[in-house]
Amino acid sequence: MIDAFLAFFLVSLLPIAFLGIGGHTEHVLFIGWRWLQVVALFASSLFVVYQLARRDRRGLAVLALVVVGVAYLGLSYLGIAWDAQIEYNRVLQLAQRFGSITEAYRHGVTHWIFGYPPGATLSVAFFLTLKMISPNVAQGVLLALWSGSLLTRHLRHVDVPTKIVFFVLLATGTQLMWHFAYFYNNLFYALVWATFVFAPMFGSSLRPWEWCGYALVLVWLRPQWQIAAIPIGVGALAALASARTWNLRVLRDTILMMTAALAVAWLGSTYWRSASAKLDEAMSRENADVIANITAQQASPVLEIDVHTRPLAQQTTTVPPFLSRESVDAVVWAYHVTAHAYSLSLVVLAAVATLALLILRRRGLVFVVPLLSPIGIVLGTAAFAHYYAAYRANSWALERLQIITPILAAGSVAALHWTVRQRTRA
Amino acid sequence: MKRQLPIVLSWIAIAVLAYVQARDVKLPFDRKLPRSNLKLLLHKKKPKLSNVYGERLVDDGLAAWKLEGPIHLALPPMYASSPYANAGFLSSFINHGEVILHNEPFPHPKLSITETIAGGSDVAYHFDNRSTNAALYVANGADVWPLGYTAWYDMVTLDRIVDVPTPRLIDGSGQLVEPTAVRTVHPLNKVTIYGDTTRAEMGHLSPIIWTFPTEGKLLDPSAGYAVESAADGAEVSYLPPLPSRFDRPVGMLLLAPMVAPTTSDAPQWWSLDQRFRRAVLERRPTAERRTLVHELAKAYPTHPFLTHYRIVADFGDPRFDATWLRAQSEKCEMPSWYLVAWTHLPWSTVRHLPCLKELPAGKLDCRGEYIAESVVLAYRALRDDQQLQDLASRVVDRSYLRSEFRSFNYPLSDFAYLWLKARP
Repeated sequence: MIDAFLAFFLVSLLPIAFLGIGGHTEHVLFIGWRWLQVVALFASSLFVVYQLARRDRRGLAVLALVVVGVAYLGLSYLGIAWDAQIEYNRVLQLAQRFGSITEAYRHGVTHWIFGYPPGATLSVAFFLTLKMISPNVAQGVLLALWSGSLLTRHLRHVDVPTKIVFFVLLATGTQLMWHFAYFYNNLFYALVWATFVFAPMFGSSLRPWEWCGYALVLVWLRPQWQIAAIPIGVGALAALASARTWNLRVLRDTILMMTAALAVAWLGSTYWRSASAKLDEAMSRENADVIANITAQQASPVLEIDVHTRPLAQQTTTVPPFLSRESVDAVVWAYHVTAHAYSLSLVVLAAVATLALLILRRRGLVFVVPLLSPIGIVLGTAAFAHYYAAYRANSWALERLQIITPILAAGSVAALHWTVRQRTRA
Repeated sequence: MKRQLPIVLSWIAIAVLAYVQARDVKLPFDRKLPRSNLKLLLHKKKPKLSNVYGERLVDDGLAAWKLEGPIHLALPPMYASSPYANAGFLSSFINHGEVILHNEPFPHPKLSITETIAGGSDVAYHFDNRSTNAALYVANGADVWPLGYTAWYDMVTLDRIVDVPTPRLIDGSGQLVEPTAVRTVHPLNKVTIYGDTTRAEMGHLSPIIWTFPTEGKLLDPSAGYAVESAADGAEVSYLPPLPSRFDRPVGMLLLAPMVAPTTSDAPQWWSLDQRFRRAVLERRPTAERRTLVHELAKAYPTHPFLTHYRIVADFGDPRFDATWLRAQSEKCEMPSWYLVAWTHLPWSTVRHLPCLKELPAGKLDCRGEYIAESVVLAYRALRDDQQLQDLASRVVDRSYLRSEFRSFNYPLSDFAYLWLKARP
């Protein structure tokens, strides 16, 4: 069974691969891609509906409810009101106007535009092609596609009550609606992350190409491969923990897939970083050209002011070692930021893990894995703090990244519910 | 029954969890919209999204003004309370790649700030606005930005309505003479007479002209009109002032000839006005500028910018200090206050001027920041002056600078920060 969401996303990210081409060829490819994306969207959606209609009609009914919910939210959507949305939208507007992603960035004017990698933007680009109201409504369509793809690919054997439990808890998850309305980079990132964890929890698995494909999606949504390593690692642990038997073959296969995914993540991240550096240069050159082209019509006396500040040595902040008091402080800080927003989800994850271990013993280990996701981010903050002394200024970014927590909580509860029902029936 | 107990318990737990989660859900959506939007869609109409930022208006303006060529646009201070004050946000709404936005002071005259760190090889901070050819004109909190300015080639705005009392003349026989026609001199403007009121839809700051069949004197000479003889009668002209914050303007002060020139016959003073503004920007000799202001004052004694023009006419001349001080001693002349950095007046004189005396104690507002940072810049050599230190601290306290240096902040505020930082 094809993962329709992944297939669509990979098609959507194609323009990032065109960045090295440039010029007229990239322009032609970009125009062709815009329609290819629409074709991919319809094909993926039809595939999901066809598969559910053929094999899981109750699943189709659940998907219909999700679509109704998404449509309702789409119709009650207020409008663009957040800087990230604006930047996502801007890349698209400029790409449409200047004919390619390279040109969009070249004419991007402000370097802020690189703070929002194009993955999230490109995924909803079909809103322009189809003349939809806004990219956020297109994001709703993608949320429905992810739901349908999850139902088809990984929840096919799961009973209807479990499916309903999952989607109800997902929809009511802490800050999920806020992300749904404003910050879809983090939302898509979390949904991909969750797929790594959910597949084994619901008795399914990812194929090797899906591991690699999702790894690429992760780094082109957020270019730090080190962050992408957390869902990949957690996904591998989930796959191992859910294995019926533990043997060297299972271990070897899982490690191989994880390594391949990490390699793809690293390569994808390296590619985007080098491409974005070139785009950044191109933007600087373009800006310099614009300024040079402005013939200063007015001659004017320039008030030249030089300020001499303290020696550099007195201003440089010392980089703390990895294992230090500062690292501990960073981890504690990250925990507090996470717990402040997602305390309920953390408690639910811990409770589900404990219950699963008590009820299912060894087979309950897989329910401990979701808890490792927020913990992985919290512990990773120590490394982040090592490289970025002002890490505390990023508390909002950390909180948004942790949107994975309520999504995993919803999946954990649903998966445990399903497992317990299965055991009761048996 | 016993086997079903775990399932029943799990359902209860899930229901409680869903309830607790749902209780905290704050929907960033409008529950009233679905019905109306659905109706629109059924009628094949596209629902319109609201946009909390006003920046999109700038994009609309660029299209309306048909600006050609690259634009390097100066913006208000980034952290002033205005949706226009964020270059990042603003650029996001401007889908014109040839527009570059900067948080700058008004771009004429030019200012260059360079921070050099002792022992460092690179320049740490550099600001230079010498290539800017436009400045956003916009309501910025309780003020209009820019607070300070010199002259401009053209002033364009999104359509604004200007209502002016329709002028009347009294002819030699004491008869009241009504205007027979009204016109504007720029294609971005339209004007219509509605009895006692003349309504202009203005996109360009330029005169409104009424035609009269006979010559005469103004019924109300104090109303700000200029009268000129015409071939077969008389013409009365009027230049509206710059839009105020109550007009909620969105426009640009252009420092280069970028929009279509005036097309129809203009009053004599308009030509003088244009020539004067260009002379300031092009640094024509002071004598020429002074002559132009003098002639303009004769042709249009109630011209709204005469006080300001007199100050900037002397800019770069030895008499500038005296002219500036004279105007600033009478009242706080905001448009030319920042030129204090280009004077050679002592701090002991400037510190007693109305702008500083009227500065409120405590937290600075937009105007206060502008007044304070201008003098910190001007008297940067007086490192030990307590009042300047206090003003610099209050400038820094208004923004992110109080906790972190961000080079995309407003350059004058940046300077206050650097000045404090540079102190031994």
